[in-house]
Amino acid sequence: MGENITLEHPIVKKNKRKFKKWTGRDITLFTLACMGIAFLLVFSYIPMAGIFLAFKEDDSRYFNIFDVIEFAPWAGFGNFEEFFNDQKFWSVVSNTLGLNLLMLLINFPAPIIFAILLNEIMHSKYKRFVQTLSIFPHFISWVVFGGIVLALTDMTTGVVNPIIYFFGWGSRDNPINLLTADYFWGLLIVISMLKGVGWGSVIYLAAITSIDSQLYEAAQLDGANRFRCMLHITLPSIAPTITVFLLLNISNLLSNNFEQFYVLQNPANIKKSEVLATYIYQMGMISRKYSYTTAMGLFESCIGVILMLTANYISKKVAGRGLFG
Amino acid sequence: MKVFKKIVALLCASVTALSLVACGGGTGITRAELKYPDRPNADPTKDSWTQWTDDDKVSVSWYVDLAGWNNNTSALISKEIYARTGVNVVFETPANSDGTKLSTMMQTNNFTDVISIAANQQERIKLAEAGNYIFPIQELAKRWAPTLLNRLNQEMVTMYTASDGNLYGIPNHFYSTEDVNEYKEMGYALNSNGGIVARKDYLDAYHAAMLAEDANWDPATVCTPQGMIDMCLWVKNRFGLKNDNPTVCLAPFESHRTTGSVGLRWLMEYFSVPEEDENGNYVYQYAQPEFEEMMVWLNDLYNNHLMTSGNLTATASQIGGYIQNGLPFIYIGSPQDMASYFKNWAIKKTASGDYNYESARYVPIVFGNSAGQVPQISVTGNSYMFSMITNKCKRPDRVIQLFDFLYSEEGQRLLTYGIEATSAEDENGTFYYTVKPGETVTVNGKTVVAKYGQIEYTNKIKRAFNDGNTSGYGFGSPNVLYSPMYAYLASAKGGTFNTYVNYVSHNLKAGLIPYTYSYRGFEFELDPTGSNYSQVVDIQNNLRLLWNEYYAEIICAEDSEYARELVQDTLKAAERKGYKTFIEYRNNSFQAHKKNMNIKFAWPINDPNSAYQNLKFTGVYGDYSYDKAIPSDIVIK
Repeated sequence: MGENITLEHPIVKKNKRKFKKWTGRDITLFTLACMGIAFLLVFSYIPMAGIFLAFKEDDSRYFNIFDVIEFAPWAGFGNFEEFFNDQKFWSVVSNTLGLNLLMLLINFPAPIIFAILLNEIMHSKYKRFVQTLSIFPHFISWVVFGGIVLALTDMTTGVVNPIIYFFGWGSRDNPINLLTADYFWGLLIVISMLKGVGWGSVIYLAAITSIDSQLYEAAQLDGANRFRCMLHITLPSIAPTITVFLLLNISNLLSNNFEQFYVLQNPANIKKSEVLATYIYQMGMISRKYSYTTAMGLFESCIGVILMLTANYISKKVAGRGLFG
Repeated sequence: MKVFKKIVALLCASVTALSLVACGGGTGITRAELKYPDRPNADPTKDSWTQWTDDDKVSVSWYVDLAGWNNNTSALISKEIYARTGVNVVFETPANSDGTKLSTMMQTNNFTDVISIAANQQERIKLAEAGNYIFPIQELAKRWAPTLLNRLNQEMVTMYTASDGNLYGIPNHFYSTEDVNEYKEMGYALNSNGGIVARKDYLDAYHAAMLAEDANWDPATVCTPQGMIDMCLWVKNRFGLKNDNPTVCLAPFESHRTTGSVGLRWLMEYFSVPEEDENGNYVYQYAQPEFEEMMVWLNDLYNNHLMTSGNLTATASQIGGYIQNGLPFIYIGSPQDMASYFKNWAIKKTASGDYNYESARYVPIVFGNSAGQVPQISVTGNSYMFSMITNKCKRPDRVIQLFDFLYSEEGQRLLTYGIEATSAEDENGTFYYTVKPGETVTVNGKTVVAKYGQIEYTNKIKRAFNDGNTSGYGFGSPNVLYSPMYAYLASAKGGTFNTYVNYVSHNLKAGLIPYTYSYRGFEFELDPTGSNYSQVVDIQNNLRLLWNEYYAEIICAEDSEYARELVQDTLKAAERKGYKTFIEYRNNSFQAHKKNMNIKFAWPINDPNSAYQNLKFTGVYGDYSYDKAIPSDIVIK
């Protein structure tokens, strides 16, 4: 037998992956990435095992979820059927969808408009002041923010009512309670915007700052005014960012920020404030119907995935861009 | 890249599958087990908590399912408990009182060593019935705290024994019949648990005006639902109260997801909404005409602008704010919970002039339904928190000894009064005996044997109460095994009267004493051994949620006809949810409970031999002879 000779093709040799020795920077980056991955594993993947609960019978004899998984009989799609037949199903789903659609229409564009307008402010100190002021509410938790809202809108002792009475909307003899069902959606939209518009605009402001300034200069030479610049340069330039956030928002049409509803919910507005998130909390954490609420959560997630895939598909067809795929 | 994606997908799938295996594999991690420590038994002739050695100090975690519950572990009394028992307790509390933290503990079998949960919660029964989650008290006591077995109140044991014959915990705030009777023999009476109070200056003004108009005017005419509305309207007009003013104010609905407004419960007692029919059967209160009348009355108040929708959306502190500004004419709830706000109002009203408690106070009032029934209001509740030793406790032998100490007379004395001094001026202790235990004493003109003696705080402590500076002592804390009857019987004043607020709180309800009755006949739980127990518990939860959801809508209905219709619609929904099954089951438990107590009727109104039958309305004012005059040495603040 002759000696085996391996001939290496020069191009193959060139493409062969070389593993560099890790530097301190690589280790830092890897550690940071690990934290994110660990977070996802612990809070997103491991809990997925609990999905099995959705297909187990609810039995109040078992108050330990592991006992339910281990001992409770299989229920098939019984928990889903029960949810669809629940007399609160339609009111909960319509509240969730209705409010989220309104928020998509009103609260989603608000940070975009705010960012564009903020970008137009030339006075840098004033700009920074407005930006700080608008971002600040984001850092207050919903529990504290909700408490402030409750105190301000108290029908008898709050400061909001005298102001609205001053503008002719109601009076002390014809009082208005902003915390009742009639005004709940409006109030929630306003305070969500107040709390989130500054923070929401950060990402758009970042996108705006990366726009090539030569585009504006060229447009101005061609006679475009500031409004035209906004419309024909700023908006199209940040359109990819807007698309990504729009798609993510659409996938969350059945999800809600639980805290904001929970702190503002009361018996006088529950007909309008009971959304999937609060109903799941009510049935799961207080009434302890684990299987039933897991089914509700799974339903919510499935609808979310379907909505996101559909929106992504439409976005790709219409605008030529999407989240993935 | 594709390979990388596959690896990530495989990794995620593996993690999910592994979690499932870990959760459901029957590996024993989830099954409860009771492990009794291998420790020598205690000597039954000596107090159990005295038998530990210096090298055996332990620390235990104790969860109290009550938001805001506070134990000052650095206080003198907590330190003394540790010194005497060698057990250091680390308390935990939830952020809010909706039971979610307890749920999480139960879901994951991740209990603290000891848990204290509301005694009337179904979870208490479920935990006891589930087996192996909770140590049986007697079993532990037999081995390591035999002296506790002799101390346990037998009435309490009978009441809280589970279906397997074991006692799985000890309640605090248990009012034993024996102690209550002894208290009565001393000429004292317990206050009601809730009630309705009115601003006295407005009330007096109305009565003066009515009598000025007609000298023969009968004050009892106010004691009807319509009479109350007429009076409230007069007050509203006379004092220029606007429509946004909570002229009639219900206790907050803050915990609407769990209990609703406690004010509705007391109002049901004022409207004599029966829980038991004339044959002694348990009935569904929400299906009774008196309940409908009550809801329509609330709706009338709302439509007459006497009650506001803001009342239904306000938090407890907001309602407290209304009270301390004197905005409500009438408050319906548990006035003791708002005592400090009522005190603030009294101080505020008289701040500019000479202090006059009578002109600045709220007083309890009585009225009834349109049939003229005099109300029966339940006295101070039976138990509050129920403390249990869980299967996670590694040293149940030491915890049961701690229980023994806290439950003993010595422990109760320490919790309530602190450390014994020789006299009022002795600064080394916090209390002294005015009458030694077992001696006779004359109280309210009656000579009785003072079983626990008669105790007073020392002058130094009285000054500390007046200054609001007693946190360093920690009186009544930790109170998870506190016996109020011990505190009352041992007190030279017949109760907790240390601060101005204590007196205000007492006087907010004392006038209702002639209208109170023992609720013991209704204090029973669903029989957990029934075949459909789980189903009935579910129905009970669903019914509670259903009514809590509709209260506001009924109260704020556009007219009384619509309010009535809503009550009936909700009742139909309750029927669909199975209230009849629930009541049938509850009635069986009720009959067994009454048989146990050897009573035919739980509600005095049904009992032809009850003293209730002689009660008559004379007016809305309560009997204020039960009030406690505020002594001059109590600082008003």
